[in-house]
Amino acid sequence: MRVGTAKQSYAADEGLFKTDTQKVWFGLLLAALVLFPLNGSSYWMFLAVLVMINVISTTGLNILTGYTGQVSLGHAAFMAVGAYTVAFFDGRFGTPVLLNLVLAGAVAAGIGYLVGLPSLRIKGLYLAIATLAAAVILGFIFLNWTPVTGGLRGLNVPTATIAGIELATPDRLYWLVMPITVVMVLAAKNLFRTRVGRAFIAIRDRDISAEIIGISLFKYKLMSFAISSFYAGVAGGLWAYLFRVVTPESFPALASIFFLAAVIVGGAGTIVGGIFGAVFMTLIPEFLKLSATALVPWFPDASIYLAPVRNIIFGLLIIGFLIFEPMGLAEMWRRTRRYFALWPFRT
Amino acid sequence: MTRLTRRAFHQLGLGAALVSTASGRAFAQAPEIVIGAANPMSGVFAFAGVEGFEGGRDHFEFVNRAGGVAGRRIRYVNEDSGYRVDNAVAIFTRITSQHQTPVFFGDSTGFQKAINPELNRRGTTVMGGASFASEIDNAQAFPNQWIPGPNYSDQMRVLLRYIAAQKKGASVVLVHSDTEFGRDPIAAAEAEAKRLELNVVEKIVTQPGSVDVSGDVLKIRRRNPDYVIFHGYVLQPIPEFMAQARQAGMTSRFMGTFYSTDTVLMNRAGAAADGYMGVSCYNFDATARGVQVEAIRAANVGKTRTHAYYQGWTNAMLAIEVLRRTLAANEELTAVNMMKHARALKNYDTGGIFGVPVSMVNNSFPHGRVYQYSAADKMLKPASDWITITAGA
Repeated sequence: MRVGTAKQSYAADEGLFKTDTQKVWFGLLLAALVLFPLNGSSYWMFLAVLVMINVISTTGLNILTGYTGQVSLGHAAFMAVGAYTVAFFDGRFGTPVLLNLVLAGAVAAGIGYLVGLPSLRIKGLYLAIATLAAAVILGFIFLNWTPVTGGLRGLNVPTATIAGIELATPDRLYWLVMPITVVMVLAAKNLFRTRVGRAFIAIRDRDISAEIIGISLFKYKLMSFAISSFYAGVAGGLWAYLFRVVTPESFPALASIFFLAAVIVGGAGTIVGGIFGAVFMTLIPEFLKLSATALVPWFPDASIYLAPVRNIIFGLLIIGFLIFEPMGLAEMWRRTRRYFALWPFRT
Repeated sequence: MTRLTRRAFHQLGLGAALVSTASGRAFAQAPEIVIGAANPMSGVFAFAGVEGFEGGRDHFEFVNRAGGVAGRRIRYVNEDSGYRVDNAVAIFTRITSQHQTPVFFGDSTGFQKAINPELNRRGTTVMGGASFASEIDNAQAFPNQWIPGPNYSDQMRVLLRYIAAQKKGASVVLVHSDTEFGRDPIAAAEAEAKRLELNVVEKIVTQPGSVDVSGDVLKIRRRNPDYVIFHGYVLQPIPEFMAQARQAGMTSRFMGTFYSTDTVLMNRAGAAADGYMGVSCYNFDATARGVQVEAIRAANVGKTRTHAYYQGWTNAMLAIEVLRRTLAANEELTAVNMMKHARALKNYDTGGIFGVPVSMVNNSFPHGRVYQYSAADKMLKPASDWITITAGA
């Protein structure tokens, strides 16, 4: 049983990892990520890459919605901006992959900055509708700015190539996506040890109070939009390299709901919640589908009859979380950790 | 109550094993051929996905009962894509990583475009699917895919040629959804109308499932066209357009492309759909004869099947033909070999599925026919002969 964590300096108190146990677990997680490709299944590698892209995007939305309290229904549109940016620069100029991803994030951040402007006057549902409207405008641009976006037919994305190695398959792309995901998640975690991150939280908790204590709402709200959009842009860029085609229909409005649901199910305002949420929202439908597929030898038409049931179960799971665990998966994780930390005593 | 004894249970198990062994004996020596599919079994396109899946499933059962392909049984592995590209890619990745899959059926234009580089990279799988996108009808860009009928632009051409044959200089309004699907053939339709000296007097863009169409009906009424062609809808809002137009006393003829024309959907629309005309490449003539069309009837006694079912069946039939020809030539089941035989399909007898012998041009089969829906008889009736779209004609 661990009875407490003695911190003997301010640096230790602000540390990314508070205990040695956390460091060990993080090391084990990294080792698991490095060893994961040994499973040898391109299907699992594809899912891993998709999950990690969703983790980046959900973390971005978590910064904006979970930490800064600004609801956005346009997150998928920022992913689309990133995807188009990668498709445009790689397809047109053949620029290096990492530069394309930085550009994807930067362009999305710039647009996110503009989209965030209404947040200075409106909030809550009104802001959500404003971001949705921005997504509609972006959708119109994707469809009609044909010389850049390819219009209706979209753009094909060349295979990501680094140092002459083509990352044509999920197995290879994993080695690009995984480190970027780790770095971006750690960066997000680190953000909330800084003045900027704390300003975001202050704005979320009470914006008027935050302004009174000297936090510029103008600066920090827009910064939150820009950082969130940067994450979405990078995620979109990686998505483009995974699917290798971007069309105006690649990122529908429903995708924004997906990320918002991931933030809520995972636990808004916690980095680990964003990760859990993205994993849950991506993998649970897949596991439910695998369950239906497993029945095929005995029930050949399982895919016909169980497909709608699967969606109902998925929906019920989300509703169940909202009712029974409104703090999300992160809270369950925290309780589990506390249980083992205090074992054999109960909280 | 009858109780099952342990002995009886074992006897039943032995019996079941013997039956399954006997039925599988014909295929015992040869490995199965796995054909994969990602169909939308849930979501807005579930009605088409389920029918498409059943069309393929019924055809493969028909083939297996007849001894399979070169003595090899077909195993059809289908999963629900929910009409999402990422789901469909996951399904493709999983099925192809677990089985050697020479043929895979896709669920959408988005998926078929997304997976195209992977298909080309692998060189072991060819693809048919639910998409009739004009973009995919390009043998250079999509060398390993086929379209089980005419592309959307050719479907429009069939309708416009029918119109031109009915009335010279007829006026036409094009109504399409604001989607990639909806916009696909519009430019080609305008060019074809110009070539045929038809007047496209208005183009109306709507949301795919929009309900309030009164403003758009007023626009059509102002133009009072001879024909109104819908594209990019599954059903809504076509019945609403037609009902309001009838109430307004309009006499325009309403038409649509493949997914907007379907007996089952028309039956649901009822009287409002009476007289609606649409293009299909499949043969709904009740008097049609042929091995395949009769097999469809035998598998569906008392049922009316949608276009999607015929599409699933046709994809399966083309897949079987390509596999059969490739194996008969003692060639490996590579994409290059299979597509070579697919492209060699010239004047191919589809057993009544198409009303004419078909030929693959680029990646599609540019044949179609105009049907008219009769609400009284609850069926589509042929309104034109078969029309083949040839380049420059």
